[in-house]
Amino acid sequence: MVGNAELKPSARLAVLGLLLERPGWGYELVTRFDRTFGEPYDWRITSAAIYQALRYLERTGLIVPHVDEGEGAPEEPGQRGMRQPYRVSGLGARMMREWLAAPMSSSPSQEEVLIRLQFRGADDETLRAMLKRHAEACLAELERIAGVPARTRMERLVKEERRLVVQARLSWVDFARAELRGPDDARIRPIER
Amino acid sequence: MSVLSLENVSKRYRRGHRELVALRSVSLEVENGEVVCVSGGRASGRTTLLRIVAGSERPDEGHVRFAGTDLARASGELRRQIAVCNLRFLPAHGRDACDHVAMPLRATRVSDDEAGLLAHRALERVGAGDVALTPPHEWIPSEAVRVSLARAIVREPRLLIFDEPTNGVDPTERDDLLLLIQRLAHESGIATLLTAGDTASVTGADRVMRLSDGELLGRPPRAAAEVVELRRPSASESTP
Repeated sequence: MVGNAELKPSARLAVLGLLLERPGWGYELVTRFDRTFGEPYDWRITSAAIYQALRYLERTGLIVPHVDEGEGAPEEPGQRGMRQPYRVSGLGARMMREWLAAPMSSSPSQEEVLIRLQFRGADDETLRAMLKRHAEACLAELERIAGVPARTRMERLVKEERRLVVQARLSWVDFARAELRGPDDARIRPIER
Repeated sequence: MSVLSLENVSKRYRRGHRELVALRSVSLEVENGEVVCVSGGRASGRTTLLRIVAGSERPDEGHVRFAGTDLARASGELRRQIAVCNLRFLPAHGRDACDHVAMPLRATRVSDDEAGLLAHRALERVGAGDVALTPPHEWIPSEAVRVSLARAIVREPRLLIFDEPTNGVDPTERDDLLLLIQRLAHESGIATLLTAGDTASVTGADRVMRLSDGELLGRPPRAAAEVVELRRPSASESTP
């Protein structure tokens, strides 16, 4: 962990990612968030949550006011309007990179999956590596579940639910890996003569 | 030491003017007494993997070693230490469970009486003593699995292979069967390789791996404990 900021897969992290794509300001981020996550994936948050995230990210030094050469000096602190643009600081970029590099757990939230897929900011190879580590986390969880004794009916029901959820994630990894295959990795290919 | 070891095994099948890549550089180790379950969806390559381990198919690339010997060069004697469980019970092999379990012993020097006794013992051990004298068409799926396990262990194999052992078994009986397989593996030190479909139970597996898009994902066996030679008491220490 770098600095004092705490990054969980939430609006804060999503806003940091959006600012990493390009600088932006409050209202612009509200619409960009909705276009990126709200409309397509039904992750809805209020505009107040976006402004709150901006304040938190600025306070912890992960984002800083953005100076646009073309528009002269930034406004005085304290007098910032709603259109104050921000960009990600070096610290913020490093935290985002570290968060993306950490393996996805065996039970990620929908928000975590969305943020990771949206901001991986790298090539398919990096995404394949992420999926592989996610699959390994799921397999470790399956091994743990495999060893859990289930004596009562309640224990059996809970164990079965948990197992099927983790296995569904592994099926998703299969699908994602197949989607990301490079041209040389096709499983059905013409025989060269 | 690993009983079974696959090193960069690849397998392709020809389909007309195209080829299908079943396995891509798969490496796997299974240790004495360890239960490894390979899960995977349809066409993931899991059945191909088992066929290669059973020696019924050869890999295009890579090596398969069983008990330290290249499987392609293993003697018949060594190959008989690999037991492949299946649910085929041919009428030619006998009438009741006892006949089917004793069948693998017929090729050996064990007498018929002795074979019958060993078969009964194996059936008792897998909890199928009560179907010993009944024919296959009377068994429910879980009983067929138990008889198949008895037939596999009667020859005291070092490696046991079972493709989807709980396929078709009632869900409430499934985990008992898997725990039985685990107990047989742990008690007799049999390296055990199972497969499981997408949603099949993995109970009892010491290690779960995944065949995904022809590649095997998962962890290697836990590092074997370091062998420390026991210090023998010297003559002066052992005399009072």
